[in-house]
Amino acid sequence: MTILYMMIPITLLIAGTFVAAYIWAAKSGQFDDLVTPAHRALLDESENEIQPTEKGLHL
Amino acid sequence: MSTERQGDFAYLDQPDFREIYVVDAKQQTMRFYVENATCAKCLNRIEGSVCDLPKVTDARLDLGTKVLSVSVRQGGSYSAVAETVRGLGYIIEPLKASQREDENELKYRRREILRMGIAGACAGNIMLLSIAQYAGADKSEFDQYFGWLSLLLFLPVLFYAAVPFYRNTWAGIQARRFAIDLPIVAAVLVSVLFSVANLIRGHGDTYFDAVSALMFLLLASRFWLGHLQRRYLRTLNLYSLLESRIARRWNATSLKYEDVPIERIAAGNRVLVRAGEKFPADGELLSARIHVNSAVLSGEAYPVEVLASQSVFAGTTLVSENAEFIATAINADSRVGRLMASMALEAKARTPLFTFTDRMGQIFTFGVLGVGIVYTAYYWHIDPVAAISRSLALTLLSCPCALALATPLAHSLALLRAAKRGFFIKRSEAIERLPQIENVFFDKTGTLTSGQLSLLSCSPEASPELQSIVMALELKSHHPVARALVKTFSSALPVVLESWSELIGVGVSGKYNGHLYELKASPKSLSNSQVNPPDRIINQISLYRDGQECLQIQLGDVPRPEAAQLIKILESRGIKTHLLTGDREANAKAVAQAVGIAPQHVFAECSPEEKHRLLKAYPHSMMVGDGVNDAVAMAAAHVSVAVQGSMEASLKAADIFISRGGLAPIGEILTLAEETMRVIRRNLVFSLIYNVAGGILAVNGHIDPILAAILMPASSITLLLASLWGTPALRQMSRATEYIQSYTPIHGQLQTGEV
Repeated sequence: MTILYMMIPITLLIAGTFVAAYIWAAKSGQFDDLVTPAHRALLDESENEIQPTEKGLHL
Repeated sequence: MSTERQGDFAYLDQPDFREIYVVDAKQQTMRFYVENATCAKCLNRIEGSVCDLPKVTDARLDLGTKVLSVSVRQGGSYSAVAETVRGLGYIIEPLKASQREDENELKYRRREILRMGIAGACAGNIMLLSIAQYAGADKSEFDQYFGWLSLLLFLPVLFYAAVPFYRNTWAGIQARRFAIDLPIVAAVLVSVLFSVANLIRGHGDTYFDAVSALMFLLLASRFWLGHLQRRYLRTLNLYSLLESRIARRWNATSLKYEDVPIERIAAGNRVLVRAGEKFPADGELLSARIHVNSAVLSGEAYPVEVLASQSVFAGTTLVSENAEFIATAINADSRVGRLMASMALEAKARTPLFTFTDRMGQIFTFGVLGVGIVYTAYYWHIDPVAAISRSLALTLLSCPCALALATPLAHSLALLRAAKRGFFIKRSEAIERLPQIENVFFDKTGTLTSGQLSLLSCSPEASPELQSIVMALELKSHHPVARALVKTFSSALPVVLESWSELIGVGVSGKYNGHLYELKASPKSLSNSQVNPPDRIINQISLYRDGQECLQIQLGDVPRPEAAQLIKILESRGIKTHLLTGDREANAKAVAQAVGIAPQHVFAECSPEEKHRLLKAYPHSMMVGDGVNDAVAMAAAHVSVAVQGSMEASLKAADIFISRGGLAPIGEILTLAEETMRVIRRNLVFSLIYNVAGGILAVNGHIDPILAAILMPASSITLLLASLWGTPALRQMSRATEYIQSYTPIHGQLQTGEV
């Protein structure tokens, strides 16, 4: 069971990367608009000619 | 405004305007407010068409705020963007750079999201560890290891996620009030000290799991609440900011008028105003003779005549033909600017109402903390550990957070419902005050009456042929009477005149079928008219065929069609209705009779000060009137409703602004407020029962802190859902809303130019 001493820090490290990704997402404004993306998902591929810009979002 | 809307957007491509409108200089982004964009289809059409335009690098529509952001390359055209979107059938307005969401507010929101997410991640991982401990790991060699890991994971919650709670509590302490977060902070600090002590001692419970889960759930429910509230507030802000912005300034070198942003007008500039537009500044008239609607200043809804070298004022609407004037005072220095500034001061001086829920929250908080401390002190001799853990459970379970969340949600939902139905409520206090209303005072002109010239009678009955002739004669005239007649006879097709001329100040004349037709003011006294009472007549016009009078037309102000119905509704609710006006008694009585207000409730010939005094004398009274003209009276009213005037000006003085126009929404507003208060009271009763029952169980040791930490957010969520669910009447209202999405949008009232 001593493996737990290593396993748990590793899992926490993995959890940490997700938290880091979340922090990046929040800081770069991915959560600024919570309404439109739901509608955007409904558009057909062929119909939707808008490509996101390289930055993804802007203000 | 309306004429500007139909006008072109070419000014957007001028450097002067770009400077004011472009948000991001590097990306060349301009933002537009697209009023009627609602669905995925709109999103697709708008973004697709705008992206197809040359040199547009990006277009993105936010359906939540209805803001379209467009970036262009060097040489791209913003006016083409606006024209395209309008061509698709949308109402589009560019937003000034200063109108975008505050940078700080955005940062704050992102931090809120961060706090919630980090608290969630930490709480989840701590839970995993404590599940292992509950399952038996606490008896093993890992107990200490798990305990310290939990503490490590708890640190971000303690030092980052919980910061807003510390801030609120500190602000409360500074204001000598019990902040609703105080029990939370007390519970967090006590449980952390207790848990760390137990960790060091090597035995006893730790509460990191309970506290971090609590933090996450509280942050999540507050974020959700904030999201709902912002959606309403941002829409409201954008609405109020859509003010006119182009002015035509004389350029002495090119000898032409050029479009400039209103901000660029300075004292001494020569400015051109077109029919239907508002004056951008105070000034001195150059044109010979114009008609101006100065309702914004005087409350008098009928156009007044202004002659050359007389004063014109910012904010008033030009009714007649184009006018030229020399600007003398701009923005804050103008008369309307000073008026607004003084009203803003008055609004600030008015102390915010300590709402019913605020008071209840205080009592709850005080009660819970008091019981917790007394209980700990009393039980300390018997069992210090149980004393701490039980009072912790009590504090967590009975804290009035649920109430503190559910009430603002109920308020926000009411504001949102109101906005969807075409009336804007400035402060949620108004919702608590509305059900207390006992008296309603109506202003006369423009409130109970339409405030516009309408046809009262025609003698003899106008034949279709005569209607067509009147139409043809008045079609080209900008005189207010002409506009009213054109509107009245809009079903008639104008005949083709052989000649036409307008004699300013007299009337119009034209030739048709060899006869000379003249339309001018009747010389006859008004007394022998057939309209009863005669006072309502404002204009009496006659049509002459070859000098022979063949038609007499009377124009005047008529009560709004829905007024009588509203008075009936109010009286049936036991609310007394009154009429309050500066007009003569006979006029006031006539209107009162027409709409069903008792003659003894008519207060005529009142100065604004008298109105103010009268409203003070009736404590629970509502004032319904014009936002600017009745501002003084509104300040004294318990609740005030503005039915005309520009939204921005009205909301400075009034609590509620009806943008849909008309009086019918007043009944709805009362229902909405009553039902919302019912939801709030229901929440209060529920949390009282819940907290007392939970508190009793907690002090008897039946609920431990972890269970309390889960039950508390559960009660918050129950209350939030209960607020969302509302009452049958509220649900009915929401459903009905779907059908009136097309309410009159903005500044629907000041369009006298279209009479």
